[in-house]
Amino acid sequence: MIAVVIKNRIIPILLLQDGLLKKRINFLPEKTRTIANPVTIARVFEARKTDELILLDIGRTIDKGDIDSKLITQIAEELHMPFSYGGGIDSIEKMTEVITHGAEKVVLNTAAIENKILITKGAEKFGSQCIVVSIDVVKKGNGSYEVVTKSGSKLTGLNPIIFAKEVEKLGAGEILVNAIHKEGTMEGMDLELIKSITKAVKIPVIATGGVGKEEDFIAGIIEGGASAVAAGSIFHYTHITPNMVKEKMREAGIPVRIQDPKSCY
Amino acid sequence: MILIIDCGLGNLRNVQKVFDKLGVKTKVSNSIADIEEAKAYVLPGVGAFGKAMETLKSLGIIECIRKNVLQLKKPILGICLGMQLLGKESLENGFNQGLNLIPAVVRKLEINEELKLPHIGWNNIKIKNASVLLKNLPEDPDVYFVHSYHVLCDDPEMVAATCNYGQEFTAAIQYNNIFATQFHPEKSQNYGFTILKNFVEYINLNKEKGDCSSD
Repeated sequence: MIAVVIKNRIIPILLLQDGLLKKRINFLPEKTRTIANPVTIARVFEARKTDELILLDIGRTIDKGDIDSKLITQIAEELHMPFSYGGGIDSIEKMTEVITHGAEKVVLNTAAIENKILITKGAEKFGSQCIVVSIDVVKKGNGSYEVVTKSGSKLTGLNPIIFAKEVEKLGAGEILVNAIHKEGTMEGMDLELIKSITKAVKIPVIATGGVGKEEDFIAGIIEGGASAVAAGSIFHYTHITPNMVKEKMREAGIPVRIQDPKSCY
Repeated sequence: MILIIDCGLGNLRNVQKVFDKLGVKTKVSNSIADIEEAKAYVLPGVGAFGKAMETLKSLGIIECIRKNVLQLKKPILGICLGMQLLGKESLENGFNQGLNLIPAVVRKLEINEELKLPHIGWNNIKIKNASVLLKNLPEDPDVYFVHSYHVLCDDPEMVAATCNYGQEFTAAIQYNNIFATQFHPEKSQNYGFTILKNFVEYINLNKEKGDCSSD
């Protein structure tokens, strides 16, 4: 029998702030613009039968504000696909809130560094498949990589490979690797970084940062070894849809899911 | 009314909203009164086997569910962890007894080094034994999975569909009035919608039959 391999996923990332859909470049507040109403965009991706969505509320860092559970519910009502939610989650209570309002998975970033036990506690309560640890990485002048936190504003001194291994051990079910130096640039992914993480861990890795054309997704999966590639700008700013990407991926021999292709471009 | 049994974990709205679209009345609850009143059940589930069984035990509803499903033959659909809970026992985080509604046990997926666990994502299932649950679908629809454990059935006839992830495992079950999917129909867009619609049709047909025989 031919071994069936799980499909590689294409995941649009929706950044939220003040209830609006945003897009930024290199995590810079001054390079952040408003795109649309997130509920409308969620509806579009549902109509296109997208594999999955990631919602990150960049206005809800763990220092301020409660989770906008009303918005999570509004978006969840539109979706019949899995979606992850991140932004401001720093306790089991907030994880529970996010999940009961309709998210499939929670994304931990700052809390995964400052309060690591939360990864384990969350995995114990909801299962590790529910816990996505997002690792924001910058490439420094000397070419080395470092994990950053607090929306990219704080260096941690952590090596991304060591940190990825650690969160896997603590119970994370997936890792979202974001190359901040590539984010929003649409100039291609940091394949070296992605490869170093996918080689180091057994759990699925979602790679993001820098996707600007269909070939970047293919490179992230084939060269980077990622299970999924997530992207924002390409879907917000260009004519390219997740299904167009997946057609190209299929041509490249990557297993993808294209449900009812005629109706969902 | 279809009762969505609340085990205290996960999101039940995701399942409920599909039934809303189908125009079917549902209720999310775990009370004895609602279990008795319901004409069918959905047992969804995210989380760990032991914890969910602990919750069902502390609610004191296990025998009530068993009576309604086994004796009164009310249809039930177990989803993901809900499918596993229907079995006799699981080895997730040690030994735990299940609801024992189907002759099956829960074991960890045995996969090689190359593949990742949990098995997360879209995968094709292969329909084996014709089940009303899986009608009006292509032969190998792709559906959404999130799990590390799988259900091992005593009787191959129970297996309505399989999936392959390193090993072949049970993706869907029909055992008399008991149905189950290891994947999430509520997250599987069109195909998942069809499956839940099939379940509703079975309930309605079953109810009609039931009404006739009781006359």
